[in-house]
Amino acid sequence: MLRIKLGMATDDKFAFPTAVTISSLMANLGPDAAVDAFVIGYGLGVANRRLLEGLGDGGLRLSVSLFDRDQSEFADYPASSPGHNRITKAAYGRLILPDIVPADVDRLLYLDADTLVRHDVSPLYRVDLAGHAIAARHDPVVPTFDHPGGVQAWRTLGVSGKTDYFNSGVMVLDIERWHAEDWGPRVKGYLVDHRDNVMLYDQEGLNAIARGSFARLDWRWNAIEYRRKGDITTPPDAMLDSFIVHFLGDVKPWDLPTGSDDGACHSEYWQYAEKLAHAE
Amino acid sequence: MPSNLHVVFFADMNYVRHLAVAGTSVIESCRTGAVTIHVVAIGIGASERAMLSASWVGETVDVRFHDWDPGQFEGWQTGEYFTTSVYARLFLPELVGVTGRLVSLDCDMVILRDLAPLLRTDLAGSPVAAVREPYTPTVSWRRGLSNWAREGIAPETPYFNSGLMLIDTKRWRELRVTESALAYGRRYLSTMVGRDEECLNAALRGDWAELDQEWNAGPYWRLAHRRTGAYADILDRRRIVHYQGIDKPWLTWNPDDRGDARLYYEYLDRTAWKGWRP
Repeated sequence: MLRIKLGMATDDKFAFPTAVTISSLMANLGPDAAVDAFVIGYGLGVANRRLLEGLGDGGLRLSVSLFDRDQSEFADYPASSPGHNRITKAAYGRLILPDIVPADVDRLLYLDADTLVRHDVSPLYRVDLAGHAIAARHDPVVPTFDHPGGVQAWRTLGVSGKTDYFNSGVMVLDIERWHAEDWGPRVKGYLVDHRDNVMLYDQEGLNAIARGSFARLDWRWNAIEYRRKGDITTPPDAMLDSFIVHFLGDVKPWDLPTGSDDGACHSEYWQYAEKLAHAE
Repeated sequence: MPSNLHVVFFADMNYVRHLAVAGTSVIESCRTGAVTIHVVAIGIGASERAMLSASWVGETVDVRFHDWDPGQFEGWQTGEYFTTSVYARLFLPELVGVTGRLVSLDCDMVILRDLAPLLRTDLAGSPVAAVREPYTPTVSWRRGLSNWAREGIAPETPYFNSGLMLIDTKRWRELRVTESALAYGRRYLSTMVGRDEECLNAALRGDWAELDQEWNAGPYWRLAHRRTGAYADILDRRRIVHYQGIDKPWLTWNPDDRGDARLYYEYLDRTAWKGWRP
């Protein structure tokens, strides 16, 4: 029996999509696996607490542990960037998950709340990290540090502008290595020092420390649907082969009218969403 | 038969079944003389007490219940997996009333070998012998003492796992360990991270005798790359398996499992809860 440790972080606004992500993960999970989910909640209301905790079954297949934290812990972190919307500071929660999960969690699967799981994640959880602290997908939207969305201060880091950049929406973390290599304080240090010159927040901080050193995940574990400005990076057809869809664009499925099928896998998304809405 | 092995567990209703398993493993591993099992009971009902007693029969086994109410710990740190019941640990010598040595054990354990050699440990004047917490080797480590600096405790002071403690009850009382643990807890109610274990580590300030890891082997040793040097054979020589942390064996049942979870069910099937499965 594989007990997968899942980490997520959310505020009230992302609580429902977080529940959809977890529901879709559970619906596709193999029979020999169970999940312990650790969810950091920033200012969660009673209804959303109940929604998330209600997903668990006491731990036989799924335990959900909510950790209430305050976003003021990210007061020094970048709050806005030139080419991007203001960040939901809850997104920085992924950077402190390794400090919050129980000590015996050796490995953690992190998922953004704007993902939909379509496949058993057991093989993802077992991925070979080959000595790296992080496994992630080489980002198809921001492929290198010198991309306009890349690591803004890359020149000061003494690395090539062509250094590979990853997407932080789906990550497998080796917690022991994360701590041994001091990732938490180093990422924080980078973000605080460069708070006025950061484009993509937590993802930029993680990449600045990784400097291209990360285990590469197959694209299907983080199939990015990026529809911003009509710039579609993954052909919509290919989405049907994906294992995890990541709705990266500005238009999220849950913002669209109920049942709308505007993008790849949106109809699948709504199957989970409607089930959850009815359970409430 | 007079017993000099006194073992104490504390449990509320959530942990009764696991207590039955751990107690059974104490009795079955006991090779020398008699054993007295003390249960600090937090709201354990009459039928559960009867089931525990029925699970632990034998001429050399004496079972005693001591009631305790955690009411005074309302507002103290608990967390996702712990209730205020854990603070019972601070009162064990007082509750049990033993004057010599006392072995305190967590319920999420299986004792594989006789505890008698533990009683012969040289405590060198310390009130407690325990195993160093491999996840938190010092008080200043992550999840160590949240206030070691303010307390004037040296950062490299070792930190122990409180799941197994050999207690010299006389020395414990002389050094007023219970009182200092409570005082620390009251001072840092809002910043504590390690509950009863943090309070005890703060109270002892490193004044405890270190036992080999084999006396309390938890999930830290699951990862092969940690089992090197003196710990290469830790899984073979361990005396106590501690299901510390989140991966509790009672959450999963797989008949083909050959790992530590299987041990739990083997012992469970020799208690009054025989046949229970999740």
